[in-house]
Amino acid sequence: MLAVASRWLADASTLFYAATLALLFIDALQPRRPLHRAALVLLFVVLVAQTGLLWVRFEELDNLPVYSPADALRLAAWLVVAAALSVNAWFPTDLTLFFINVVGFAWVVFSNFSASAAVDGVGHGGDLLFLHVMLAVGSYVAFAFGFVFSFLYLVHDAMLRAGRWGSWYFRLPSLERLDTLAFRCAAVGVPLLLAAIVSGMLWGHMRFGRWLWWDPKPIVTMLIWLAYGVYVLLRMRSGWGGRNLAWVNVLCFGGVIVNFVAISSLSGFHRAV
Amino acid sequence: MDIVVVGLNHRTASVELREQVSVDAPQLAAALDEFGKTRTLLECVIVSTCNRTEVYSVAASPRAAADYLVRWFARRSGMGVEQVRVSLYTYEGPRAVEHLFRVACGLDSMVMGETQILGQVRDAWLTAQERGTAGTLLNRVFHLAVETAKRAHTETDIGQHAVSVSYAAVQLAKKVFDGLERHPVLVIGAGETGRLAAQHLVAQGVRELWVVNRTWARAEALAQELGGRAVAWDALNEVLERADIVISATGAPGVVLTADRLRAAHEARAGRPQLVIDIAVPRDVAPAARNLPGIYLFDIDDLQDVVQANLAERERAARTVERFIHEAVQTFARWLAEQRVVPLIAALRHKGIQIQQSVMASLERKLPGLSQRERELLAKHTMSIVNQLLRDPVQYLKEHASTDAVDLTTFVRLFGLPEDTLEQGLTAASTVAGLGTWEAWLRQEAPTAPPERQRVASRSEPELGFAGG
Repeated sequence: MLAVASRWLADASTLFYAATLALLFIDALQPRRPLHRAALVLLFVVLVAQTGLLWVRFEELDNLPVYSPADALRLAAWLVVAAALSVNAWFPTDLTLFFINVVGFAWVVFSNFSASAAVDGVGHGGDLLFLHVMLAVGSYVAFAFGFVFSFLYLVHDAMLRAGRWGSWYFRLPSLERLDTLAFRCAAVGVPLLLAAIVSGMLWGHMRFGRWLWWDPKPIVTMLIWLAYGVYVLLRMRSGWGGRNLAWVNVLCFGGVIVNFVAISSLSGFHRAV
Repeated sequence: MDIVVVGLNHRTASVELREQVSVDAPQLAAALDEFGKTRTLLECVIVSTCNRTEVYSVAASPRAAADYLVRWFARRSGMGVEQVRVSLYTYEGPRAVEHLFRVACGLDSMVMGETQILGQVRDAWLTAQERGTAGTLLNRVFHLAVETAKRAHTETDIGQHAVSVSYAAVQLAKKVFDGLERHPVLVIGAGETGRLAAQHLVAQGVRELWVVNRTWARAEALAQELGGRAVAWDALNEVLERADIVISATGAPGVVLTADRLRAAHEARAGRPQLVIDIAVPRDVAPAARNLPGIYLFDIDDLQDVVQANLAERERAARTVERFIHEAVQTFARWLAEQRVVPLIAALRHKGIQIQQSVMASLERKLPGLSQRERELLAKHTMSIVNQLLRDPVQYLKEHASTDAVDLTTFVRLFGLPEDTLEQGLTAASTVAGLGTWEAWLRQEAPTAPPERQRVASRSEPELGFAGG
């Protein structure tokens, strides 16, 4: 029964999310207020469906639904939708809303093809493992928002330099605002990811009785953390990063995605069993 | 009886004529009092700005009112009636109301979508109210005009697009920097173009501004005017390194800022971006500087393109506003039609109350022992019978007031209402002929709305120029 409800809710949220994205896409090309409102209502429906799915998964597993790649991605997508709707309630986010939901939808789609079984070594994971996953997911969401802001920075920069004064010229925030927001997201994500690495290490030591250093997952994650750290440091030193730093941020997020999608499957302990 | 407007504006009359007929604040009360005394006009409001003078009136005979107002315009201008008539326009009924809505929304202004006119229309209406010349009809129509204009400025960004080269420069600065107050500005050249752009930037909160000019006295004068600081020409490189926004508008025949000079300045800025706006013709800044990383260079052609894009945005928003205006005129037309049946509804209710009171009096005579509570209960329930009986006819009458579906004469006879109620109803708002034009308007389809831009959280563009109404 719960498995059927879980499948049904996963399909429904994916379907509604796809419809939302289609409306936001049309709105990005040909802005119409009623279309935008309809997209926001649909996005709220997606949030409700995703929340229901998380609850059903909790009942189904009799455990927090965060320990499998699919569940972690669903949680990340839920956070993206919740954050996007909350921010939009206070400040009209316009094009940012579309692009952050492209990332959120990609995660939802990928979660449908990801393993639903918990990763190796997880029974009832305990508080430390839960904390590790939550911190990691939180950092991914922060990096996703940072990626969107840097991507929009590059788009806006290219439009200004090419002298293209289309509708996006009026709708995009200033370069400085986009740069600042991207930096703030990274500044939130970097300590979260560090805390996730440390809590994961501690949990691994407690669970397996040894430090799990030599594995692709912690090595690549630390490299990504270092790359983001360099980005934050460079940004703090130069004040305003500009185009090059926006590229660095975009590439760092590419690393995050590769780490989650590919490196996890190479890991000795981070893949689903 | 109908609404009539007679007036002239920047499109129909020369500035000399507009000046002559303009009614300034001290003259307004006297002019309204003069109109208040004539029997030709039942109500009137005078809207007089630098770009238009219009008299909105309600008159029993629209033609007589139009003639009266044309003669009034002729007297003010000192011209002959026929001579002034060519510069005047006259609209009646729905067209007059639509015209007022277009004026209030800024669609009829010299700078389309400007917001100053809304305040001017509101002030004109309030003054007429104070002088007692705005009655039921004009109060309703001006109230709707103000509401529609507010809607236009809230739901579209018609008033927020740059329509001058100097303000386009500010818009570009806002697309690069967030919050101009934290960014130092350097103005090279103390001419009129540079002054205007700098003035706009100062209006946006710029705190630090340097003016560099070959003639020291002119640099000092402009710096003083803008609250900035004059800098010697020799110190140009120094301030060039520190300024985030550079406006170059000299009259120099050749390049003032070479690519090498800008590159050197940029290297000293630790990678912080710099916006360079070259408003000069011939250009002050070497075009090669466009390729320098961290420098955003725009010349006069770019600014013209930005202005064109902004104008296109205003026109797009204007098409949405046209739809709002159509809806507002329909709202007014429906309200006007309802006024036709208001006396009938009042008479019907009055008759119902009279019947109920008569029944209650009869009951109290026949049942003298009723307690106070019993009397109240009976009164409540007999009134309820009357209300329930009248609810459907009244509702039907209101809903179909603007159509031919209701034969008012039959209605009056069916309920045994006094025959003069019908006359009151017909004269309450408009004549039958007048209503005919309004009914035709109600049958018109609304203009289709174009795709609209999202509202952007930016401040409204201040109009430093002479853009009003």
